[in-house]
Amino acid sequence: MKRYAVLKGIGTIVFGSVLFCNSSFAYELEGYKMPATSTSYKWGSNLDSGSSVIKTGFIDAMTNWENKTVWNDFFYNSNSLNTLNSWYEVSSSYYGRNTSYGVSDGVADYFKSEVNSGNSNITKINVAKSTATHELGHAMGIDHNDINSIMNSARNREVLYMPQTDDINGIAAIY
Amino acid sequence: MLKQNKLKIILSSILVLGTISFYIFSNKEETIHVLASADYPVTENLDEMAIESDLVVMGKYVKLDSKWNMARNPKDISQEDPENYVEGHIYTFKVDYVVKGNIQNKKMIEINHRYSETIDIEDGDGNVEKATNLDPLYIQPDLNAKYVVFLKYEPTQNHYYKAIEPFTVKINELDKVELQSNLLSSVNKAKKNEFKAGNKTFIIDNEIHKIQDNISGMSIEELKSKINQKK
Repeated sequence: MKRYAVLKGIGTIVFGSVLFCNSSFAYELEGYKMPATSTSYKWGSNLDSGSSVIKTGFIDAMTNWENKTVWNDFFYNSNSLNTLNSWYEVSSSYYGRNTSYGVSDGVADYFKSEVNSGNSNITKINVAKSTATHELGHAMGIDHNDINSIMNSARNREVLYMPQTDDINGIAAIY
Repeated sequence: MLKQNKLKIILSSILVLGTISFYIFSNKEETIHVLASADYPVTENLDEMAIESDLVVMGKYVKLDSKWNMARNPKDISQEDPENYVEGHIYTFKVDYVVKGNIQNKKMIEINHRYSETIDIEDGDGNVEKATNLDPLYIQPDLNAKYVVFLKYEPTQNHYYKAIEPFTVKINELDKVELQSNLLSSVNKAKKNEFKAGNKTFIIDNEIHKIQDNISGMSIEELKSKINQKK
């Protein structure tokens, strides 16, 4: 009975370690981070006034990163260098893009995250949210991967629009 | 007298050293590093390529027809976006066989390939450089080769564009297919764009997703049959 309990204990540790390893090291990192877990943003010219499905997508994406990960806060500041915007690219399957500037020292100076309003699927709120969440993931420092993650380019954007366990682990590893 | 000379020497030395330091500092090489990432649909699966496509055709690229700005003014898409430039290359494609979709009796269609985009980069001194970032997915079509292409229709422009990445398959002389994509693990394509302006070097690194090739080696008949099953 005692031997069984010991074996069970060892088995649990081994199984737990395997699970831990799988979930901890599957994310990919960009190799840079933002200076702090609290950062400002401003709206770009196409999202500055009024409301839109893309603006809502960005607002929900910021809330989800704040609530589900160690990321602390995105806060509005009209003088911020970080910009959230949309652009209209026709004849393109692009959903979004992120550009992070001054990354050579491992800390990005600022970023620009944009969602393509010319993509015919972007009118679906979950798709807009999924794209905005993905782009902010890049801004914070996580890279593409091929597992169950918001950073997987092959994800179903109508279903997967929240940071997943791997994304949460990725942000925790950076900050 | 001796004291005055000493003072002159010290002041001259400070002046010379200051001038040299200023010269070195103002001519210091500086690198500005930018990382560009994008979100676009990707697959490793032929079924998904077929499902995502409005049109799948076999044929040949005939010529590069024109270049245009794919970024449009959101308030009036007949106008270019004054703030963004995304260069598209429109190729004329001669259709030999329609695998999926309908092009009525047309023999030629136009296919848009995303070629590059312009990125504004601040140089740290208040100047903004317009940098051309070649699309890391762009592959120049081979005008002498046969292809199968997986496309979506764009009604506002009346042409086609890629349904998903990858979207082109080359057919070799043995009628076997070869998947085309810069995302393939076997393709070691430079995804870095670099240019100099004055004493500053700008590096744009494109972050891309790697995929496996599950298609190359199929016969063209096998490819057509698999696509037909997904119609």
